[in-house]
Amino acid sequence: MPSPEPLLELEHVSAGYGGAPVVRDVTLAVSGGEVVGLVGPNGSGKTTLVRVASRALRPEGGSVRVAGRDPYAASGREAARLLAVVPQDIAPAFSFSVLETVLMGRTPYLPAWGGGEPDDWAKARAAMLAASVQHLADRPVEELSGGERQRVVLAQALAQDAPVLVLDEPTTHLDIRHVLDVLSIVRRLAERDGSAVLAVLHDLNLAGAVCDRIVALHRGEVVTDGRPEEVITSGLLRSVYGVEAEVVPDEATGHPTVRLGAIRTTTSVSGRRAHVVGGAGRAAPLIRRLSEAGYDVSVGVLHESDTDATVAERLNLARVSVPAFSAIDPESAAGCARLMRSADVVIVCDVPFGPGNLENLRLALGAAEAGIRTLLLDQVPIAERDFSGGEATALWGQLREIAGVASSYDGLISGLG
Amino acid sequence: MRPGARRYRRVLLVLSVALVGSALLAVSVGAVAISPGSVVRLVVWKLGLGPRPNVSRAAEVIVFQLRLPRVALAMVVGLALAVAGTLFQGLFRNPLADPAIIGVSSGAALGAIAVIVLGGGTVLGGLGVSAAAFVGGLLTAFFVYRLARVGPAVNVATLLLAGIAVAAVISAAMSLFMSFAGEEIRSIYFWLLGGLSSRGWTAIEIVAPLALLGVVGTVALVRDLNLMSLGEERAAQLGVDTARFKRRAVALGALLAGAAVSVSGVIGFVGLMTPHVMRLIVGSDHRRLLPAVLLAGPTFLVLADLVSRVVLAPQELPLGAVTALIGGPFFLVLLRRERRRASAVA
Amino acid sequence: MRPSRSSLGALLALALLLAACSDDGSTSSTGTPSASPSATAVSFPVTVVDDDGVEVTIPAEPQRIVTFAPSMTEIVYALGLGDRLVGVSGPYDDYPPEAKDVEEVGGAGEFGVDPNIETVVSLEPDLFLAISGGDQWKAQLRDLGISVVTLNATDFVDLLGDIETVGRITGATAAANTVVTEMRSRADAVTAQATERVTCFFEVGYPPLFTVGPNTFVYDLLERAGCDPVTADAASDYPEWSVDALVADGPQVYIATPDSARSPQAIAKRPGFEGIRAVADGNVILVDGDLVTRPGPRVVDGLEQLSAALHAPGD
Repeated sequence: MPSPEPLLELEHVSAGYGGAPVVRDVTLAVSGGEVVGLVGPNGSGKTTLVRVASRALRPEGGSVRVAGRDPYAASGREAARLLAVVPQDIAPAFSFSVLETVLMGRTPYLPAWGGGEPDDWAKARAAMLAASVQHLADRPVEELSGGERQRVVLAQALAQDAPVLVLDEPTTHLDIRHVLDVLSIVRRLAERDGSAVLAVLHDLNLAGAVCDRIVALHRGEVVTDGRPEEVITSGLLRSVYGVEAEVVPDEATGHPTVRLGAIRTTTSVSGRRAHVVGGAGRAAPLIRRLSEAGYDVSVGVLHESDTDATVAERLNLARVSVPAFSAIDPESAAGCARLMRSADVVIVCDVPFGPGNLENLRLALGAAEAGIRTLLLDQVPIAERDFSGGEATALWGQLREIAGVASSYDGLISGLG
Repeated sequence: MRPGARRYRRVLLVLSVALVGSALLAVSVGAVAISPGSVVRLVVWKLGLGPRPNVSRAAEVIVFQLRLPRVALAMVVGLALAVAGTLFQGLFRNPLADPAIIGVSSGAALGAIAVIVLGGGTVLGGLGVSAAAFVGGLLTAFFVYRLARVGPAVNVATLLLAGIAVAAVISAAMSLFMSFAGEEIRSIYFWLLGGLSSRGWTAIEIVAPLALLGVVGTVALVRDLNLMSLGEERAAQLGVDTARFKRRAVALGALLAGAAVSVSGVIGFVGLMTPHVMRLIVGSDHRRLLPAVLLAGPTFLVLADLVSRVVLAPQELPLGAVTALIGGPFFLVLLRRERRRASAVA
Repeated sequence: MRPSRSSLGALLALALLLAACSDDGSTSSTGTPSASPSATAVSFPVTVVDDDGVEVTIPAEPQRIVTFAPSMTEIVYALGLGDRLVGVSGPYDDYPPEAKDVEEVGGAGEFGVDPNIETVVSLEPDLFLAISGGDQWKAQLRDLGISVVTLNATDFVDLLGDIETVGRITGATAAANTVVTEMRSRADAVTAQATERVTCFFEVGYPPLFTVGPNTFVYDLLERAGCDPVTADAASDYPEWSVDALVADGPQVYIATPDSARSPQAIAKRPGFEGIRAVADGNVILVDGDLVTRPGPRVVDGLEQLSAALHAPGD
């Protein structure tokens, strides 16, 4: 249960390295018991923000408060007791054992020469246990694998016993099991111990799974700040990452999940446009294959709630649609005609035609007669698909004289050339 | 008990015995034969704990006025150089760093050479040269430090590069001075090759307090030295005042190295090898490393000086040459090991 | 060509003959410790200011003397103090022959030219005679309570003074007087003979060619022997001299020692040397280096040798 008092606050923070500021006017807050994810593409300023928060980079504007105090006004020791950073990795120059390394995390509490109280040793061991490295206590750190070393780093930060924890891409070298281990440790810290956790994560699915809130950075500014399902959307992927992808809620957990299969970049590879006349699910396989072939696909005119319409929505294709069970109005028809005219090829699928979508055939015929390359999919004979009292058959027959015909999806695709 | 404490104590014991043993050996060896037993009895007598042994007056003079001060000086210089090396290896986070790295040795040599060539060799009874060397060393270190400093922050990589650049310039200046030298050339070579021909106890009376100061300061930095090995950023995240640490490390290192060079000329490799080898034996924790270095540094230089006196007797090998002859190959072996390890990890 | 070679040979033979004769002469007149070092007219302690500017007080008549230069060794023996000599510098202390048996204290230091302090201390000397150089170890010896006296003869008259000083600080003033008187009269005789002056060049080392400048001991000897060195305007005491400049200088006589040249023929064969007047004329002579470069009692032998060689027939 997040406490109302934020333990880490950045307000209107601007910071940079001497030139133009890398982050501008960033405001974010993390309360105790919360895990907040910081996401954004490379170069968006995530690491800079981590530095500002951890007293490593003084902000040029705005303020930072950790547990109510300004870390830059406090001594290094005091600040280290309030905020612990888990860096991506440590590359120690000299050989220390895991236990010695974790004990270094107790530095903010130790006197200059002293070895440490029993309490410090206990906290160090507890930290190692939490990070699952207690069995490596006497091993030299440089002999560990990347994943083991990262957990030692985590243990060192845990030993600091600070109410605020900032993790800078802590899962970089970890295999899937250890990724889940680390994240579950982080969640437990928040839920059980009330720590405020800010985690810079590059994997959006992980962020969606583990964070209570997500802050997205783009070019040094906060573009959105909210619950994972609000933030991780295809819109975010497109505007911030420049990626076209589906985001669906996971059936079991409800976490927003980016579907890898549908990812392609916004600009089409081949630069060719195809317009598909579909309906009743006949166009769906074709649409997918055309997209994969690099075509920029448009569809129309479709009726909403039609399967093909759903696919088109998901893929965010340019489309013309009309409400279910209604006729195609002149405006929609004109829009569709425009789409057809700007395409390199118009493909008419073997859709059942009735009064509601007969206009599509007329539009296709119009496009074909205007010189647009047209292809017909004729796997299911028109006779079985005519619900318009013969008019569809007549129009289909006229189209057949002008357009190319294929009797299968494969044949159609290969006919595109 | 901390892991390995028993073994560590054993190591310290062995090092202590080695130190006392080499000192005894070094005082016993020379042109005139004096047995270790006589040496011990003489020392005991001088401390007022026993009767005067039956040795000639000449032997007494040789032990107390010639050999003992020389061995004591070797110990102090070895100590100062080894501790300086430990500091610089911690500061640069590189086990191959050496006190010469920020130009202290070159600056001290230049100071000495300048004074010698300009005719001040007899000022302050010869101490003028040592004073000039000390001042030269400190000034150079300060200059290099200022070059690398941007605001409150000191970039360690820049410090390294600045040290190299300044050393090159100083080397040119030294050559210039040397071209004007007449018979002072011999004194100049002493500074460049290193040696411990001392004048009684005066040199020690001056250097020992400086070395002590440096060692005490280093002891206070032990914990920060450990933490800095994680990297500056991480150490700062754990609460270390890194700017203050760097200031102090450079100052103490310059003090120790400058004091050593001002009385012994340029002696290399002691500062590099001693902490490195001790690290291999007792580990990197500076709380254990420093005491080991405090024992090993003097031992090494006493033995090296002994070698320099004995190999071509009665002529002496320059001490800097002996440490280089031992240290050079050792350094190469180290480099190969580091390279192999680095390529294995990569 | 042939005639000059035979005259060279004659000169060489003459020079060597004279050297042999001079040896006999010096042995009989100044080398043997004839007068016993008795009847010290000096009372101790004696204080002197040596040539390094150090004021040294000798508390009592020294009985154990260490010399750190062959010239000093010769002076000590000339004053009849040979049995008080306990240490010499090294293998070059070869005159008189008894000196070779005395313990050597040199060869130490980084360049092998310093005395081994421990050895010196173990000899328990009460007087250490040195020439200039070695401030470091001299200070060390003084710190250990040893009286170090530095004497550096810059010319013949200075040498006579130095010998008298040694006499004073060792209580052998009578012997010193005798030696100095004889040296003076023999030198004066040589100078009186030197009416016809020739120009000359004295080689200290080759290669590169080194010679002596006007403020050196050898230079003074050369002038007394009757030659004017062409290096009168040299800037330093032991300057390097270019062969071309020497050709231009055109000295009448070329003088070298066996330390730097094997023979006059070897000198003549050196590249560029045939252009030097003395070489072309066949007036290249070798003199015994020890006699002219060691500022000691045998210097007069060297003077006589030089004088004879400079005015020998064939010139």
